[in-house]
Amino acid sequence: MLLRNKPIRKKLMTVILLTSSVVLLVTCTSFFLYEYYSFRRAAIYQLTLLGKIIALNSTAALAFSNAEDAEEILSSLDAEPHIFGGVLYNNRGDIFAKYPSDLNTEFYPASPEVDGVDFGKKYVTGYLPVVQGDTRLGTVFLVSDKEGMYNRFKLYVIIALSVICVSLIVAYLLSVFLQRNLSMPILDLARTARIISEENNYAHRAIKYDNDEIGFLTDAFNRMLTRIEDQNREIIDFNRELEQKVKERTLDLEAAYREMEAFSYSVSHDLHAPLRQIDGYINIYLTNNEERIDAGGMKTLRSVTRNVLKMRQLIDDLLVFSQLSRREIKKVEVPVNKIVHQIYEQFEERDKDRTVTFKTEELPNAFGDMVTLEQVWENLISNALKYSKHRDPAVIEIGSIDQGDKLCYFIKDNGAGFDMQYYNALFAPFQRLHSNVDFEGTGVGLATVDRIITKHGGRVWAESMPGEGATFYFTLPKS
Amino acid sequence: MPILIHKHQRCFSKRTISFIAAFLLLFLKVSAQSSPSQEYKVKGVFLYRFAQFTDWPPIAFHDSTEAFVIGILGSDPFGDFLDELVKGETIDGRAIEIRRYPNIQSLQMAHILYIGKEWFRSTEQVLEMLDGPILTVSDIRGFAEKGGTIAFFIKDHKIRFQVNLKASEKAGLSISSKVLRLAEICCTTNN
Repeated sequence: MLLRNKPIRKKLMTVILLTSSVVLLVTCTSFFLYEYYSFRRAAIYQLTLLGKIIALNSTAALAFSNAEDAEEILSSLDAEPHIFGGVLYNNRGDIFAKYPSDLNTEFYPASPEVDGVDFGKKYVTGYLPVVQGDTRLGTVFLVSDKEGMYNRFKLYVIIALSVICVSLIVAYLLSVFLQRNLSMPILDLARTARIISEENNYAHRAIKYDNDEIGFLTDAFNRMLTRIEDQNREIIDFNRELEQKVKERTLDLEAAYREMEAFSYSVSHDLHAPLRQIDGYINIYLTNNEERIDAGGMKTLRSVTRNVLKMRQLIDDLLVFSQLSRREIKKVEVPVNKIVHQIYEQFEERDKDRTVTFKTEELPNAFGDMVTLEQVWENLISNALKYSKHRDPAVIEIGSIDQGDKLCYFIKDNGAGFDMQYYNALFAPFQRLHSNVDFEGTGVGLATVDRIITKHGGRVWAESMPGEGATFYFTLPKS
Repeated sequence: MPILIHKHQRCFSKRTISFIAAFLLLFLKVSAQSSPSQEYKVKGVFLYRFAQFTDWPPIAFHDSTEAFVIGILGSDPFGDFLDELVKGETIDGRAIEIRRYPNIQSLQMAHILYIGKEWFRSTEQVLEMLDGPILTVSDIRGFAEKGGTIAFFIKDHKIRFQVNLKASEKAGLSISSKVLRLAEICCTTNN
């Protein structure tokens, strides 16, 4: 509706004015209609009356065929200027007398029609019988114009319109005054709401005017504001508490972390020494007693050496892992392509008898710490190779996706894969998803990758299906 | 409207006059039997009208069923016309009868009495003899002055009538003012 988006003041005033107008219109129309029917009745009555009088008076004139007398009687119609013509017909239906003598033939018929008065469109006409005793002597016909009615209507319309105009003006003035009572409290409430939302200050309150529904609304509104204020305060306090707690926890965490790193460092460092000793002494023994050792003994010694190596590897990994957060990353342009190929060539040298399909596109340079990013690729590629060693051929695919403000690298293998159910453990340190029998490992590789990438501000994730290989992704911001 | 006017013809001898008079009378009598002239048609209607527009006193009728009598004394210029005119009509619910009285002796009841022209010499005497509520009408010249109630005359080619109010009052009749307005009122001053 047209009113929908108009302000309340306008709505109220429109309602008042519309109602007033409708009432006025209905009233005036009713009176108008009443006037019309009143007039109609009066006109018919008057015509009948005059007709009857004339009929009564003209009996003798008709009876004795005295046309002059008849005309004289008809001339009494002068008294009513709206009845502008009269005709007397004898009982044969011939015109006996007419008044005025020059009455136009269009106004009266050649012979009389049925008795009665007809309120026609332009004229009122009537036929009345002229009767003496039991005998009908003829018919009197009268015709009246409706000027009287039209004049009255004109006057009536003028009066009605003036009254309507005056009434509407009064209604308008009244409505301006009255609607204020209704709209002021609403507008005030709206204004308060607007101020609150603009200033974001919940300290304001709306003024209550009357004790009606709007007053109730105002009260509810104010109560709501108070509640919001209180809740806000609570939230702020709570936030502060939380922040405090978080700070404390973070400090605790950092302390614990540093402790762990220190521990890892010292442990791995300390563990290196005896291992070196073991390795050394084994070599000395081997060198000194080459001829004396038999095949079984050799095998055993070699196994010992292998295991020592494994242990050193594990300790190195731990060392690297423990040093990670200590190192500051120096961001330079890192030639990823070169690194990847280098790592692969090294592997090829070590494991000549494996069939590996190594697919890689031209990899873009990354922006980050050289050493640690090398470590990342080392870990990921060695993982891919390790877990696909039962495949012939093992397929490893390395690629990249430009993601606007960051680069995304991926490495895909067709190896053993893992169950996504255990995804949470994937990048957690020391958590292994496969037994050492199937695939050996320290459980630190991916954790290291995660740490490094996170430090660079990127993200690492993986997708896999058991038995269908795995794809590892990581993103690095471009700058 | 053709007019029938009687004039005294003094130019001829008495014998011729009476012969012509007799012939004329005969002619009139004969013609009276057939349809009358236009003039007498109108006058006949007027007779009926007088009956409609006049009130007779109660003594004029014995009871409510008694007929209204239009009498014609002497020569009848109306013929069948009058009988046809009043057939089926009523005056105040009474049937209308036309009675013809050739002479005074035969005269009986009449509410309206049309007196033929031949009584022009003895009008007063005839009127003397009448008694009661009788409306007398005639073509006789000066009938109203002589004491008759209504006298026909022709003016401007129209049939008019004189009314002697005294005579109507004397007979106890009350003629409607509407008719009186059309008539020439005669004999208001004693003449």
